[in-house]
Amino acid sequence: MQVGTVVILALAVLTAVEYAIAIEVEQNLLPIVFIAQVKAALIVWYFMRLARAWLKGEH
Amino acid sequence: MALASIYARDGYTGDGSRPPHGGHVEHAARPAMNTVGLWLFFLSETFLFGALLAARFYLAGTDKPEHLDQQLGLAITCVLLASSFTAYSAEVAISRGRRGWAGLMLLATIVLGLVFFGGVVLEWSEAEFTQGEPYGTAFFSMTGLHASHVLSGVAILVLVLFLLARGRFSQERHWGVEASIKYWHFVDVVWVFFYPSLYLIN
Repeated sequence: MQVGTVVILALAVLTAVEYAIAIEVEQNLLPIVFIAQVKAALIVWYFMRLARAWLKGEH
Repeated sequence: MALASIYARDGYTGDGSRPPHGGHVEHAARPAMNTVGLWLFFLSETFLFGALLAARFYLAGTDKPEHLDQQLGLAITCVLLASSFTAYSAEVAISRGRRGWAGLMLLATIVLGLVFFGGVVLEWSEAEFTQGEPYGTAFFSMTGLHASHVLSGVAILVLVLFLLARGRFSQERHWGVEASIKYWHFVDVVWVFFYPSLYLIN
């Protein structure tokens, strides 16, 4: 559960940074795409437990 | 290798010979096969959403309209991210045998999903796109398809909550909970890419 808390906090911070970049930076495609990829990776790896699904090959 | 071991455990030897246990599917192999099927489903959905994402940039480039409600977009994004956390909490709870807490977290996820859907409906009512505007086509297609997935996710979670209340899931057997929650996270991942591509990228 502690991992989940850290992940959701990281997602919140990244979303705030993403929003700030969108407001402040004129050409923001690359940084925003990068942040979106990091957020997606966090969800897939920790919340969807991709590591457990494929590295162990078990439920 | 992982797939080969899964097949082997599932009674498939590859050379047509029968496995030592007589070809019956061992129950222990079931969750692994279910997991493979679920992730293949996610892969096929990724192609669908990826095509929409590509169409958005093809139709409208990296431009974005000024009249989109940025605060509303941010708010529903936060709601969906929070719902992923409650869904994760429900999965952790059922895996530890805490069925009551799992049910509560599932209910919270359902409520947050409905709030997200309400936000999308509000955004649709406020959107000021003219007919034939390429960005409007992309916006309504992407948010519409995603919102339909959110609604189907809510329906699945309601069913899971009902079955949980009936005692169908336990600490040892909760694949239904896990699969539906993984689907919910997948819907969240899609929005992680849709939100910036519709609201933020300039």
